[in-house]
Amino acid sequence: MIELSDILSGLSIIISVCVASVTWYKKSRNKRLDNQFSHRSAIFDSILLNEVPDLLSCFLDDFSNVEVCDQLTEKFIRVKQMSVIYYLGDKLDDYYELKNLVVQIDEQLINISSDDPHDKDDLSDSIIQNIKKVYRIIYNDSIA
Amino acid sequence: MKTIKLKFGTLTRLAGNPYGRKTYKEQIEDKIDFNDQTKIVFPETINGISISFIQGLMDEPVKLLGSKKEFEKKIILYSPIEKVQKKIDESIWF
Repeated sequence: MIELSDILSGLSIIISVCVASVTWYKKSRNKRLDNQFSHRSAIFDSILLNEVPDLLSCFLDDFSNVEVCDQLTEKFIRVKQMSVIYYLGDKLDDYYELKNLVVQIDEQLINISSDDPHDKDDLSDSIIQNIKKVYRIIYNDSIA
Repeated sequence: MKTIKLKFGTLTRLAGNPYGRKTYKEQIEDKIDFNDQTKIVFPETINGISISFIQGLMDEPVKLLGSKKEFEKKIILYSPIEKVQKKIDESIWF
């Protein structure tokens, strides 16, 4: 016949195994996320330090260039897709701010390259400011 | 399947969540049938669309249909321009 003490010791073994598993899972998850953040530079650099600056110099020459504006938008949509590492790393504020900035930049780039934008200079200033904010989030004020 | 062809006059680029909502009210709401599949066609003159426009345009259907799976069963957004189609696909669930 099974006694209460047997049941309790069985339960305590099960609970110990569960606690150990959860602790192991959390440690390995945090380690994985730390690795992802340490590789952040490799993820974003090719776009933000090479491709976007090249496109921005074309953009500053001609705000209305539809192809350049569309390519810039593509780059920032890619940045938003890659910023999922912030979401997974519990940096939700950064993730949602990046997402909102990309939506704003996209809208502004469509507007400035449309047939009749209201004020191209103001709009281009605003686009540059929003792009700077993206750089600040990702590079922690070290660049922008 | 029902087809709704959108019209935007001389515009070539569409932006703004409010303009997306207005377009839905004026050109889609009365014609869409949620019991059937509806194809919404953008004219080939449109060469750029913002994320916010698409989100405004599809805000009500997304709410009414409730899930991505249901939305994709009932609504097809189509542009003959490849880059616009790609942008539409990226925008709805951005």
